Amino acid sequence: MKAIQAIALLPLAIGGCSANAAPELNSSVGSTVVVITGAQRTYSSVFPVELKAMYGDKPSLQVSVQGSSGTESWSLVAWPALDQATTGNLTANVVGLGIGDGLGTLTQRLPDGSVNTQFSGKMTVSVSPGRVAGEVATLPASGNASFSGVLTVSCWVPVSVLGAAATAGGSITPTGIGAPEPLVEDTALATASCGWLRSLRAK
Amino acid sequence: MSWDPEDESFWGWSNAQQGRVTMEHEFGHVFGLNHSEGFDIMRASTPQPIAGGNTSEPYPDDANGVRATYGGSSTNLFASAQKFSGGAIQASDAPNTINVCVGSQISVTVTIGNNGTLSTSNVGFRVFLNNGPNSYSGGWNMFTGTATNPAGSYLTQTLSMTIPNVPKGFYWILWQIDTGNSVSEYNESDNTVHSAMNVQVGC
Repeated sequence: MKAIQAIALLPLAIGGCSANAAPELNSSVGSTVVVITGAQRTYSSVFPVELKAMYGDKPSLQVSVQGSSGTESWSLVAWPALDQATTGNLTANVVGLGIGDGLGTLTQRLPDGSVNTQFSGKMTVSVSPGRVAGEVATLPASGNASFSGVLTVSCWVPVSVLGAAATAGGSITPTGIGAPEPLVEDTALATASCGWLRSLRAK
Repeated sequence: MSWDPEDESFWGWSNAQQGRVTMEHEFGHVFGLNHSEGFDIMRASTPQPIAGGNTSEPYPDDANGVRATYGGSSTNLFASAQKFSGGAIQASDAPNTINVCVGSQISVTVTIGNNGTLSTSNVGFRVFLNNGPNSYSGGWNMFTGTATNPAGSYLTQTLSMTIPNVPKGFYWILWQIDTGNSVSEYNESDNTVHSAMNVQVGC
């Protein structure tokens, strides 16, 4: 009985809903939008490279890239200096320990589940509207990779900057005096801080 | 008919088998819902959101739609490690491991919401480190506060916090709504979720 149910449901689960012959859920499989060519294998991702600007107490810029080969994954998170933001070219030193302006972390997850983060080297990334390309050169060389694909940008500002529109969905209030104000996404990139990112959104 | 958590491969970043969310999406049509391109199970494009415990459920707009047709009331808060940004559902923080020290400042992007009909206010909320992805109790708090969640709404915010005094090691980042269990909910198992991002505390 279970098998019959499974067979009966299979087309629905694979194809998703459909008003006509074309499945709307694209077979429930996200499309690859980023390809990472590593030293030993190629990784892909359904998630775009994200460039995230955060204008909290200490403004920062964050780039994150990740992909999977099926058995291994490669991921990079870096914090290029904010003053590089408008140049279109971002750099960071890949380090095994520490976060902050100008630094980045590379992580490889191996098939046995172990995680390797002990890389040192350099990341260079160029961004253009909706697109990104970059390279990471590391020691050990197993972390080396180049990548290209889709770029998304987001910009986060204190709740008070966006006002009532930012609290329609509720609020989080930190305990303690002097705790940093939570940030919310300026989805329209309408604030003065975030306006520069409009030129990097896909046309 | 059963939908196993193993169907959800979001955390493998491939979205190859969003079986459960597909079925819930189709049942949404059975109940009369059309597509809606937000933080909804009724999105036509994948991936659909996943809430705490790596499970899927109707989200505020989905639940509001069914109630508008059939009536009813319920109470439920949820936590999710995803965000709706740039028209897509994405991991709220990219699946990376960042190498930090005790005392390092990090930013964590969280989503919480209320898909019930009763607004909640000043409900306990925390972000914490723990040793496993499903270690929902105990752990080391990095952020504590209170949350206010109007009925049928959700919010995504980026919170700044400090790595607490923990032994060196690999940690998962989790967040929990209704920490004091003060709200009686129809689903108490979706209040805690782990981030796709991990931290390696090395000093």
